[in-house]
Amino acid sequence: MVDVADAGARAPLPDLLSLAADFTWRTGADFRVEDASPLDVACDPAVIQLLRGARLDRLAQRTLYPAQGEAFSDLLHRQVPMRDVALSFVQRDGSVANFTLTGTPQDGGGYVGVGKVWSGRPFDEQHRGELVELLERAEANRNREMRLREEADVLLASLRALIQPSPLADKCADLFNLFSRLLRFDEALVVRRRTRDELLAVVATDPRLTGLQWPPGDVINAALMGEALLVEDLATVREWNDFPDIMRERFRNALVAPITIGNEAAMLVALHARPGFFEPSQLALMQRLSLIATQAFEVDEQKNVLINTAKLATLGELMTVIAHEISQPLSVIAMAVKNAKLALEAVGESNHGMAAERAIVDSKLDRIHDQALRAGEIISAIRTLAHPDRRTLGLRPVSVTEIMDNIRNLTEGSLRNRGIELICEAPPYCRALKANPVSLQQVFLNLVVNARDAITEYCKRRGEPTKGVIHVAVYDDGVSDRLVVEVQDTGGGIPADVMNRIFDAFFTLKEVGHGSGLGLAICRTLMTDMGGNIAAFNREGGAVFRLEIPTYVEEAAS
Amino acid sequence: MNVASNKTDKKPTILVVDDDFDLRTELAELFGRVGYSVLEAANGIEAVEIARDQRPDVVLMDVGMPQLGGVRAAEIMTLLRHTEQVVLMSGNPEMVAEAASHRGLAPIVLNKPLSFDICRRVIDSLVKAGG
Repeated sequence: MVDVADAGARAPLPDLLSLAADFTWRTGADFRVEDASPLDVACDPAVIQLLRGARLDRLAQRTLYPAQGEAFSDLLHRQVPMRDVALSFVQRDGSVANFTLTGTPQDGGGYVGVGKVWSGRPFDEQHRGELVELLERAEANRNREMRLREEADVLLASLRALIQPSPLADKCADLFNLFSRLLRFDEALVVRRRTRDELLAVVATDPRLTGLQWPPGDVINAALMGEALLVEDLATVREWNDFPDIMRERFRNALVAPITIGNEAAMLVALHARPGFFEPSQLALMQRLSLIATQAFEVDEQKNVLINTAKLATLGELMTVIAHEISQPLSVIAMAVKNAKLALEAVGESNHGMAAERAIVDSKLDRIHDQALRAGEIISAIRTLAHPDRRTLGLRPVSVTEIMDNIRNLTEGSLRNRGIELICEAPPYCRALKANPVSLQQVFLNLVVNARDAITEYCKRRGEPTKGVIHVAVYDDGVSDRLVVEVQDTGGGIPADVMNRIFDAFFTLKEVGHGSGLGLAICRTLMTDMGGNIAAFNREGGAVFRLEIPTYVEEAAS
Repeated sequence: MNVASNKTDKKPTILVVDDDFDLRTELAELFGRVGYSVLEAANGIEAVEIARDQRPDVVLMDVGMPQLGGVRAAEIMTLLRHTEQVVLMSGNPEMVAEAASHRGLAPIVLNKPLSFDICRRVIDSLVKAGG
């Protein structure tokens, strides 16, 4: 105890003693332990024995835990305070001595300090392994957290960019910029279908890539099927040689995710020059980004729809006025010509001398009459297409057989003249439709007239007398909420290359001057308004137009 | 046979109503040529008065007219039973059919510009059916 008191006089030992110590120790300037004395009877004598006469730096070299020993040596030679340096020794009998040393450097060199003995597991390699693992896990978590935070930042910024009322191109540029913080791609693009066989990059980070043709093949097929994929090396895909040079020179690695523009499948592509740059784990991220890109396009499409609707509303108002103002004089022209014709006929009966001239005047009058009516038809067709009040027309129960009878009455004459047979078939107990009778009749009429013209054209092209069948069939399965009506003709079918355009306004297969190109567009608009659907396909040498019309369901009495 | 010959003896009467002088006179002339006796009116009020006095077999009437429109005039004529049949003409037939159906009417509405052939077919069938 005297030693301790002496040491206390030279160093702040009382501070150290306040740490529930088991023994005290002191070294000389050469770090040899000059004194080690137990403070407690429970203190392990083996530790005291080990310490007495040992040099601290050597002692440190012999510890079970080498890294700890090295750190200890460094500590000693810099003569800084030691804080609970833990040491573990295997003794001759195989048991392990564990203790910590805490000490302060002395003025004359050397240390004075206290120590604590503890039992239990030595401070060993396994312990260290666990520690390292913990540290690594903490580090990994920190990285992951950083990445997630970055991702969250980007997603949030993307959302902000999405709601900005900027043009689509600017919006995409912003989004791609943000995406590049997460994916580190060289360039990115959105590829969508322009026509049936043409796929174009509509938006790209590099303006030189905009308008780039993406070749058909495995990559686009997968994306259009809604599959995200990682292409390790683009040079290994079948379509590699079909890519434009600008692509092949610059990019080898691609991440591809499907997106939806309108109702149509498209794809988002991230490109990098180095094969294998992107990792499979980035696919999930890519898919999340593709959702955002989809949103950007969706917002844009909706805006377009709104603009179109607004345009149509204005156009509709204009057309209503025009329809009224122009139809009046057109009616007068048609009537006047008819009068002239009838007058001419009356004259003709009494005067046979001018047969040739009369025939000419007659044909001219016919032409004036027909043209006036055609102008009128175009005007009413445009009005039907554009009229904003169309939707206010009520839907009510409609009998499909009644409509078919009307159509038969309206078209029978012109069909019989052309040698075309109209066959209408409906099951005996057919459910009522929920539709607007005028609209539905117009759809049926348009389809029958179209079929008639298709057959006439077809026969004319083949140099045969006009002959054909128009088959209108109603199918009611009695279960689904829709009725199916098919109008089939024998007019040779619709050419495959125009199949997806036939419902577009102003698209026509008829000769110039014989069709407005609005008939099917109107059909589709009317069907959509009634909650129905229209589709076209070819079957047995003819075109089939398939209508799906909602059935009428009696409202439950409340 | 007897009844039928009686009918052919008596010309069916049509009342043509349109505020457009040119169209009205052309229509009147045309129906005159194909064997109708024709009455004319320039607006709905005239039309109702003439219908009351002369009881035409069929009325062919424009919808958009000053003072009294075609739909209202058709409603009055039908309520007072001045005539059996009213055919309306409009550049916007669906709207007219809708408007008329709100008034409990189901008139035939012809699309303007008119085709005389269709117009005549409709009128002929009405006159035959209505007797």
